[in-house]
Amino acid sequence: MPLLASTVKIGDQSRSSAHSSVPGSAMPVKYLYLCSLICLLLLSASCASFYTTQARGKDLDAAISSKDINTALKLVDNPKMKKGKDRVLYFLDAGMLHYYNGDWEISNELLQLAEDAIVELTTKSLSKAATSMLLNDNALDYSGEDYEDVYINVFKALNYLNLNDPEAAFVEVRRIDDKLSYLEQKYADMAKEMSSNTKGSSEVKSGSNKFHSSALARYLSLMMYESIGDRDAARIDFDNIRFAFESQAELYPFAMPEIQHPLQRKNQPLLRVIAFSNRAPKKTSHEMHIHTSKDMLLIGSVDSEVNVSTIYWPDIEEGYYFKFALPHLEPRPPQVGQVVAVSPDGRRFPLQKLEDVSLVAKHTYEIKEPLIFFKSVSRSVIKGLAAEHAKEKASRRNSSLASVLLSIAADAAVFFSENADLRLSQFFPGEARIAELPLSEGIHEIRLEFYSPAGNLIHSQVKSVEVRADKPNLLQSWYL
Amino acid sequence: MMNKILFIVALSLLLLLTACGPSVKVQRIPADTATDLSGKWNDTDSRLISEEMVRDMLSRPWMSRFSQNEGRAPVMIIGTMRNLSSEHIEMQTFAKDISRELLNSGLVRFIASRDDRDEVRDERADQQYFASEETAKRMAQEVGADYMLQGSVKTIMDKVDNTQAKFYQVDLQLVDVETSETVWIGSKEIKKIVESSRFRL
Repeated sequence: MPLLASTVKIGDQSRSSAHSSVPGSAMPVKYLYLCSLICLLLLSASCASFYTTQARGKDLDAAISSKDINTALKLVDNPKMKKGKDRVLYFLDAGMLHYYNGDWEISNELLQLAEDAIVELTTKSLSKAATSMLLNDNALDYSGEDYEDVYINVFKALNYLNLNDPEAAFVEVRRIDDKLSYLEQKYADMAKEMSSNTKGSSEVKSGSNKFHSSALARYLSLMMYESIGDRDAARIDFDNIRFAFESQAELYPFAMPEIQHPLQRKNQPLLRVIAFSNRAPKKTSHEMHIHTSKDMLLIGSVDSEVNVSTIYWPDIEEGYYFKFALPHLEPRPPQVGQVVAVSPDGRRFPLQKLEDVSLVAKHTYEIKEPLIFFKSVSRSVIKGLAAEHAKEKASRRNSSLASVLLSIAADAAVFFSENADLRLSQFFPGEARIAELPLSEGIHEIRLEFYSPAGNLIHSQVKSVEVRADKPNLLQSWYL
Repeated sequence: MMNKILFIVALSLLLLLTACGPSVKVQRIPADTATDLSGKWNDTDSRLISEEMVRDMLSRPWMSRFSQNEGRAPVMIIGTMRNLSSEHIEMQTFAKDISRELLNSGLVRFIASRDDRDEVRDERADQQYFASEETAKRMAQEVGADYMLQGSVKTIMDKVDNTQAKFYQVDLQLVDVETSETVWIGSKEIKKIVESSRFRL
């Protein structure tokens, strides 16, 4: 539901009352054209340019929670999305669903398309940028959140491991390092550019990056080095995992899982179990309010989670009031509280959390959140002032009826066009848990049990896996 | 008014005509033309690196020493070529480029790769049963390699804004199969600056 971004200049009652006494007369033809044009513009533009459609959300939630991948794939399979501005979303969703379905090659093709499209979209479309300034960020091509861009490579690495191509899996892990090293600087540049566009009115600063190393990516690397017998390289990854936990306390506020040290462990083969559970956050819309005083915007929210802030805005007058919608990442309630792997001899191995994808998503989103905030405020103020200006002009030149109609049209244009961009992929997991099971070489049947946060068994599956000394011996499972 | 209508009709026709044009254009170009489209490692990099590194390798003292001692051309085999980069590089193509350069130099003899040898061995074994005695090729007559060439490709990436610096380092080493002595090490770097547009229409 769009928020009404109404533009009311508080205390300016005389204008409308003065004109209301004038009897209604025929509206000038050119203003009829203007109204029609606005209406046509609103109608003719794709609805998806205005707001994020969440029509399939409940069906998708039901399909994924019942592990019905085929239904979920049918729901995301939208031919328009494959080539349109939401193609990254389609590639991510379909790529992840195929990963869960065990279609490793198809998953990799789709995730590669997502990654390529994200790179391609670093070149900004001027026409879409202009449209987004008139409407909202839903008009832009969706270029992926940073955590999505990083975890694409994690899942591609897993796909390559499943396809028995460890060299390609290594490539993906290295790409994660490249992306993380670029993350903070990417938004610092963007903030610098935004600040220069404000002509000194305000300095825009991006958030600081806290995500420098992924323990999950390092663990995949450790596992692969061990499988090729390079224990020293595996030891470096072990140290990097420990360092990731020690140096990124906000992202890893839980104990490091028990991982056998590559140089200290016995020669007995290990079965490494990775379980993906819960779902990465969703985006919600926060209603924000702007009040103006002389040269200043006061921005706040009815929601206490968003801080009140001020922005220096030269030449703005006192008394305007605008509303706008701001996207916000919100964690989903966890479905899974514990995962246990049970070996054939009945030993139980609780899986321990290695990566909280939801936390990574939150913190990486916070890097660019100030930029989204500033852009939304700017757009809201510019649109609001334009609408107010148009209304004032109309009230001076026209009859009260024409003036009222034009005011409605102007408010409606702002009302319908101001929506938060809530687009986000649906199927990245919220967390990754691991356990290392010392087993003999051979084929083993492992039972994986997923428990709710209340401790009830919600899902169980038995998987057969071959353990060999020269293989990574990775068993993957999921319950979202 | 009429002029405006005509203008709109003309514009619409122009747009329609543009839309009706072929969406795929194919142009045939010489295979050795450098085609840098994305800035990623490509056939030109593979070819140029192979040419330069093989030239360097064959001009070093190990070559003349071998010829003096053995009185014949050295026999070589390509070992593992590892991709240690953050790009998916087709290492088999690179190995083939090196093989071609080595063979075409006329200065060394060359042994087929492990996979290729397996196929040939199967064929030879097959011939022992199914080919005539006169034409069947003899077993255990393979030429043993004197040297094995191993290598890797590594990358260092740096990015500022829409400009990316890509640094590729190719390392090759030639190892004496009998003594495990490394007789030559070569390293070749390629640096690329990839600038993508900040804006498009």
